[in-house]
Formats: sequence, C-alpha cells, structure tokens
Amino acid sequence: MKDKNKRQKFTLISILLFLLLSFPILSAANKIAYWFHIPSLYVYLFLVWGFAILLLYITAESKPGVKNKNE
Amino acid sequence: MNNWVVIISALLYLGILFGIAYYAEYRFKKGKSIINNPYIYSLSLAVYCTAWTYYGSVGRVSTHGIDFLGYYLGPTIMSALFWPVLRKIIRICKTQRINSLADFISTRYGKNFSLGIIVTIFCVLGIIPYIALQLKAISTSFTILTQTSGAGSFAGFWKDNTFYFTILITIFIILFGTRSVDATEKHEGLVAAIAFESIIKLIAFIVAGIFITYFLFDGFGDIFSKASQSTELQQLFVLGNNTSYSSWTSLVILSMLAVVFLPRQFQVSVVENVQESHVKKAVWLFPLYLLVINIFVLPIAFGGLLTFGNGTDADTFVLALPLHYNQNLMGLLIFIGGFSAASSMIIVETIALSTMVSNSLVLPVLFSSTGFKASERSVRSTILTTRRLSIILLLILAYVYDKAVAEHFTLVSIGLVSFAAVAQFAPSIIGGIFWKGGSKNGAMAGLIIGFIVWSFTLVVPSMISAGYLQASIVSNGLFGIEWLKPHSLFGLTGLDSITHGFFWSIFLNCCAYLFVSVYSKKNAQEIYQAEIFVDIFKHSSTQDSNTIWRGTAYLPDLNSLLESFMGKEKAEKILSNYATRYKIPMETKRADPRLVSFAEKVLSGVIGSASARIMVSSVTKEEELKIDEVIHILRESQQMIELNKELRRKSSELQRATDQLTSVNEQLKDMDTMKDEFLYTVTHELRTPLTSIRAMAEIVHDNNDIPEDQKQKFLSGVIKETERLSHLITQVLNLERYESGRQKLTSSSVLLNMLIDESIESIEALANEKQILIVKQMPDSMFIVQCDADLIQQVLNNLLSNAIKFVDAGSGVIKVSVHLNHDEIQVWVEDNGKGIAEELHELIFDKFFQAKNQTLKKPQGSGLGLAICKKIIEMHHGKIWVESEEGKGSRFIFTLPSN
Repeated sequence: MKDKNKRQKFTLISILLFLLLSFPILSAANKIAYWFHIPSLYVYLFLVWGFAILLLYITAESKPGVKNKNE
Repeated sequence: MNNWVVIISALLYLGILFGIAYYAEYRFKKGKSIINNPYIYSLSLAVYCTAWTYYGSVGRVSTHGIDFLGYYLGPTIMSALFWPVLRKIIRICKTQRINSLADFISTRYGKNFSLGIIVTIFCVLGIIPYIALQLKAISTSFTILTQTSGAGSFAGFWKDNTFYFTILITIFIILFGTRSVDATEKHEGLVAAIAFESIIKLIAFIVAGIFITYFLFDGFGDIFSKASQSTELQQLFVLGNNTSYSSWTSLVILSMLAVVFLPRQFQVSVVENVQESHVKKAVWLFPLYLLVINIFVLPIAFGGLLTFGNGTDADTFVLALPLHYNQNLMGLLIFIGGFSAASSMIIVETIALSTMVSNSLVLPVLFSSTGFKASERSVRSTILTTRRLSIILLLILAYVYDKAVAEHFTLVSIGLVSFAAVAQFAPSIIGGIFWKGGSKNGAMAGLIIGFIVWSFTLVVPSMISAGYLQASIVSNGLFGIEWLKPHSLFGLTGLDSITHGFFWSIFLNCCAYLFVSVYSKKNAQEIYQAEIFVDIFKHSSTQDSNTIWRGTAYLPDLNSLLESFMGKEKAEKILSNYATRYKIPMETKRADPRLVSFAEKVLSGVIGSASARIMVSSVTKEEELKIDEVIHILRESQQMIELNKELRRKSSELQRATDQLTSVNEQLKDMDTMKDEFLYTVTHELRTPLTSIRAMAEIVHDNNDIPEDQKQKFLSGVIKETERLSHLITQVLNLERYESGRQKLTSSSVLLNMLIDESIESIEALANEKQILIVKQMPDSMFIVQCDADLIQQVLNNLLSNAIKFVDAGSGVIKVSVHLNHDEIQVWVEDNGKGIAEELHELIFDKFFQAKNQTLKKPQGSGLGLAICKKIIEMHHGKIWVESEEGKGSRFIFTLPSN
C-alpha cells in the first residue's frame, strides 16, 4: 500500500510537470517581458524547476505516515 | 597557451582519475564500497551532462534561444518517474542478472538473441556519432585553448592530440571496465571516477559562469538588459525563434526517454546501481544537479553574443570568453571541466556498448557456431578479449566518424539524432514492463520499423550534407517518389527535422509494436518472461525457487560449464550455496531443474541471457514446454504462495487453540486438587463438632447419675455444636453457590451509609457484651452504590464479627469508615487487635485457612468467612485486602465501584 501510494504521488507529479511545461500554460510566460531585467520565460522555467525539485524532495524523503506504520 | 601545458594538465587530470578509480577498487577489496552511497549514485547519473551540455547548450542558445532547457526539464519530469519505472527496471535486472539494454529487451521477449542483435546494432549506430561528438569537443576546445590552427587542417592522426587522448581513455576503460567476466559485478573504480568527474565539470562550469556573469559583466540583470536592446537577441528570450511548441515538446519527450534509455544512463542507473533505495535520493538530487549546472548557460551565451557577435562559433563561448580577456588559467580549468564531461561520457557509453556488443552480438554467434565447445579453458579470456576488442573498435569508429563526418555539424544536432535513436527502445521496454501482451514479434517489428524510419529521416539527410549521398533524395524524395522525402515523409510538413523524424519513427514503432503483439502468437518462454517482468515485485521473492525448466541434465556437465566461465572456485561456491539454501541434494548425478535454471541465470550475468540459454542447452537435454504447461506452472506458483499464506494462518490458529487448551487443562487440574483439598477440609471440619456432640451425648447417655445442672450444660453444649455444624454447612453451601456462579446478584441502588448502620446495629449487642467500642466515621455525603444489599451486608457482618473476635475485651476499638478513591468506594474496618503477620495477608482469604494453621490459637468460626467475603466482593468487581502489622491491629479494606 505504502509503495503504491508513493508511486501514485510520483506519477501525478510527472503529469503536473509535463503540463506546466507544455502548451498552453507555457505560452503565458513565453513573451518578451522582464522580471527585474530577467526574461520572464527564463524565470518561469527555473521557478517550475525549483518547485519540481522541492516537490520531489518532499515526496521522496517523506516517511510513511502513522496510518501505515503497521504495514 | 602553450601546447604542452595543456597536454600535461590533461594528463595530470587523467592521472587523478586513474588514482581515484584505483583507490575505489582498493577500498572495495577491503570491504568498504565507496559507490554504495546514494550521493555517489546521484552524481554518477550526471554523466547525462556531456560536452554537449558543457559547450553545446551555449551554442544552442545562440540559435534557438531558451529551448535548450528542454534537455534538462525532460529528465526532471522523468526523475519523478524514476520511482515507478526505473526502480522496476532495476529490480528486474537484479533478479534476472541483466546487464545491458540489449540483454533487457532480449530477455523480456523470450531470451531471443536476434532481438539483442538488433538492439545492439541500433545502439552502436545511434551512439557512435555521439561519442565522436565528445572527441570533437575535446579537440575543438584544445585547439581554442592552445590557439593553434583550426580543426580543418587534419594532418594525420599521429599529429592529432585527440588521438592520444582517445588511446589513454581506451586504456582507462579496459583497465577498470573489463576486470571481471561477470558484467553484473559493479565497476567500483569506474563509477567513483565518473562521480568525481561530475563534480569537476560542475565546479568548472559554475566558475566560468560566475566569472563571465559577475566579472566580465555586472550580473544577470546587466547581461539581459544589454541583450534586450538588440531586437535580434531579444528573440532568443522566447520560444518561437527557430523553434515552436511542437519542437519544444518533442525535445522534452526525447530527453525524458534518453535519460533512461541511453546506454550510458542505463549503465549507471541500473547496472551499476548497488541498492534500489539509492533511487530515492537521486529522484531530487539529479534534477538539482541539472538545475545548478544550467543557471549560467544563458548569461554565458548572451555574454558571448554581446562580445563576439555571431562571428564566432557559439559552441566555444564558455572557453573563448575568458581567453578573450586573457584569463588563461581560468581557460585551462574550463578545458579540464569540458574534458571531464566528455571523457566520463565516453567511458560509460563505451563500457555499456562493449557489454552489448560482446554479450548480445559476438558471443551468441560464437557459441552457437558448431566449432565452439564450452569446456575450452580459454573461454573466460575469450569473453574478456571480445569485450576489450569491442571497446577498441568502438573508439576507433568514433574517432574515424569524428574526423570524417562530425566536423560538419554543431554539437547539438548530432546529439539529438542519438536521442531519437534510443527513444526507439521506449515502446518495447515500457510496454515490456507494464504490459504482458507485448510479444517478441511486436518488439522486433517496432524496432526495425523505428530504426528504418529513423535512418531515413535523420541519418540520410546528414549523409547527404556530408556529401556521401545524392542531394536529390531530399529535394525529390527517394527514387523520385514525392512522399518519400526525408524531411517531409508522407507529405507531413511544418515540423523541424528532429521533431519530424522523431514523430514518424516513434509513431510507426508504437503502431507496429502494439498491433503485431496483439495479432501474433507467443511461445512459452515469452509468456513466462512477460509474467516475470510485469509482476516482478510479486515474483522476485519466489523467483529463485520456481522454475519452468524441464529435461535431463547432469551435475558434472553443469559444474564444468560454470567453471569454464567463472573459475573453479567461484563456480563451486555459487552452486553449493544455492543448493544449501534450497536444500537440493548435490550427491546425485542428475541435476535438479532449479539448479539448471540457476546456472543459466548466473551465466546470463556473464554472457547475456541469449548466450546463456544456448550454453546451458548445449550441455543439457531440454524438453520443450507447451504454453499451457507454462501457464499452469505460473498459476501453480501463484497458488503456492496463496496456499502457503493460508497454511501459515491456519497453523498459527491451531497453535493458539492448543495454547488455550493447555491452559484450560492446567486450570482444571488445579481446580481438581483444590476440590480434593476442600472436600478433605470440609469433612475434617464437620467431624470436629460432630465428635464433641457425640462425646457429650455419650456422657449424658452413659451416666444417668450426673447432676441435672451438669446434664443441662452438656445438652446446651450439644445444641451449640449442632448450631455450629449447621452454620458450617450453610457456609459451605453458600461458598459453593458463589464459586459455581449459581448465585445471581440482585443489584439495586443501595445507600451504603444505611447498610453500615444496620450492620453495626446487629452486632452492637455482642460488642457491648465484650465492652468493645465501635466507632463510625463517614463523610457527610451519601454514598449510593449498585450492589446486592444482602450480600454486602453479609460481608460487613463478617468483617465486624471477625474484628470483635480478635480484639481484647474491654479495651477493643473497632472503627468503620468510608473513603472515596477515584472511581471506587473503599470501606475500611479497623481494629486494634493483635494484627496479622505480613506473610498471611493473602492466605487468610483462602478457604479453611484457620483450620490449616493449627499453630494459631483457634478461635471460633468456620474459616470460610473471609473466603466468602472475597468471593462476594469479586462478584461485585471490587477488591478486598488487609493492611496489618503484627501487634498493631489490622485494617480490612474492600472496594466497590462507584457509579
């Protein structure tokens, strides 16, 4: 059960990332615009990237909850 | 910079690499593995970042803008799938002893060796250009650093530094990559060196980035605002300049697949994986590495474009910028970083390819040829030689390709063609581990069609532009057929060439794989392997003990087969270990089927599954299994697991029942002895008054002449003893009723104060007679308890009359008090009598305790009073005990639960 749960979380994350990095969401950031002089697309991609790593870190390193303790 | 400084630095760097690899192997022999560490594992995955990342990303920005990030965002998405996908592949490879991509696919589809050959050839053709690309990067960076004449003036390989670097790397690979014939054994030294190279290239690139961004320019903002002033450069900030969403998406998908299916990635992430759990760290550390190494790509690219304009080859900006500002030392560091990126890729890729070439291409052909015998002593050296020769051959091919073709292209365009090549494995592998329906024919069809389309759409155009083929194929189509143009196959236009080639190849590949799989028949071996691969987490525990091999095999044959591949000592150890583990007799001449299966699996680790199958069948006589038999075996093993579980559950239930029975039996035995004792004491107790009655009656009967008052005395004695007798009998009957549980409680709400008052009243006359003071101490509140009033009254009476018995007449004081303690009410009956010794505190509640202890002064009473009290209180779920010291009086306490 524990493993299945983790597998689902990771699969969800990958789908979410794929959507965030595809048309049409990507087109919102794909403009000649700046954020503190830095191109918006560049900022957007790195933000998504950093967010992805954080999410992966939390999911990978999380201990199974109390509910799963008996498994 | 001086030629020799650069060469010596590179040599020094290679020396360090040799040192690290050697040290890691040394440590491993001492039993301390360096690479058994999740951080080293994650770093080794970073072999994904090659010279292409190092130099090529910057080059890509100058033409395509931001889209280079797709190569690293794809792997980030994939690393989320490491847990569900990669971990499964690792588990399969570990249990099946698979050590290459080709072996994986051929094992999955029934250990078919033609599939292995196809995959191997495909890999070699797809990856050689990629290795060549690394060599090109080394030579280009060398040329720039030493500022010698350009790469165009090739004056023969003996004057070419790349040639010598290639030789050194070849030596390194042969030294640390072909130590053992067992390819499933980890390459400790190699992986340690790769992890080290990952650190070096990261540091070098970051240093270059910081230098260019913060020393040549004034930070990110400065570079970007300068670049944004040029409308031409501004276009690079967005997708759409030479790129579109479709090519961006195909890039992301390509790199997603590449990060698992590139032979070097498969090698480090699966074959060299020591523990499955290391994947957990890699899931986030690997993308983090990718993010960090990419932060400065854009600033470097724009810095270069702002400094040099479009005149210089953008692939070289990283190196050219510091050199332009005369930072030679920095240039050297960057060169070393690029060198490490290139060499790590070459090393791992070559190892992976050489395993494939030897195990899936050369050895199956060699072993199935009639002239070859397994018992030849040279077989191990044959394998190692094959592997070494293939390493040399691969690097020669790469070197030749570099010199002949690669000079015409930028770094990225070659790399992407390789990515598209390995992406062709995705349907067979992903389908193979999640779909039992995938068949050998399907995989074969998919791979071949994918391969043909890939060659036609991506390789042919590059051959044309290198001048090896006629240009008319591109403009007019193959054989002049309009819809066979490499860049617009079947008339599809509007995509860039990579997206176009990738789309058609993977689409047709998937279709062929799926449809042929569904419409073709599978053989027994395929069905068995499909079951094992797809349900690996279910099977990996039972796998070793369950087998589908059937036939005749002789142990000595099997033994000598293993010996010739593994060496005598190791072969014996492995076989006997396995035999002891599964309790297989080794004395018989005939080999157990499990041993045959096991031997085949061990051999797979050395020579690949297809060859292992050929070898094992050469020394055994195998009967072919029918499909329904295989299915039967598989189902049986499933049922066995279920049955086993059921059996274990049943037996533990049985055990529990037995335990219960034993304890009940013990109780019964105890009760039986207790009953005996009870009977004995009761009769004894009954006889005492009976004896005295009889004695007194006899006196009166025999002596007519005794005086009247004497006679009266004896008669009243008789009456008293009779009363005692009947009292005793009542008590015994009562006790028996309580113990048997026949006495039912008639509970009602009772005012405890009243109950105590009544008891004291009934006993007051007796107390007065002995001049004993009874003190009552009650809190003001009323205590209402739920109990059987008559029974509790009996307890109170009993305790009070006991107290009266044991206190001295005249000075005796009895105190009755009630205390509230949490959720129970305590009733204390205290006296200032002679007290009870500590060791008797529990015994006095036993039946006939007094009678059994004849040493005590025997007072009146049956000896059942306290036993009855205890029983009654227990029936009310209360407790009764005594606190006392000898000579200091005693305090009897019983509790009743309060509502």
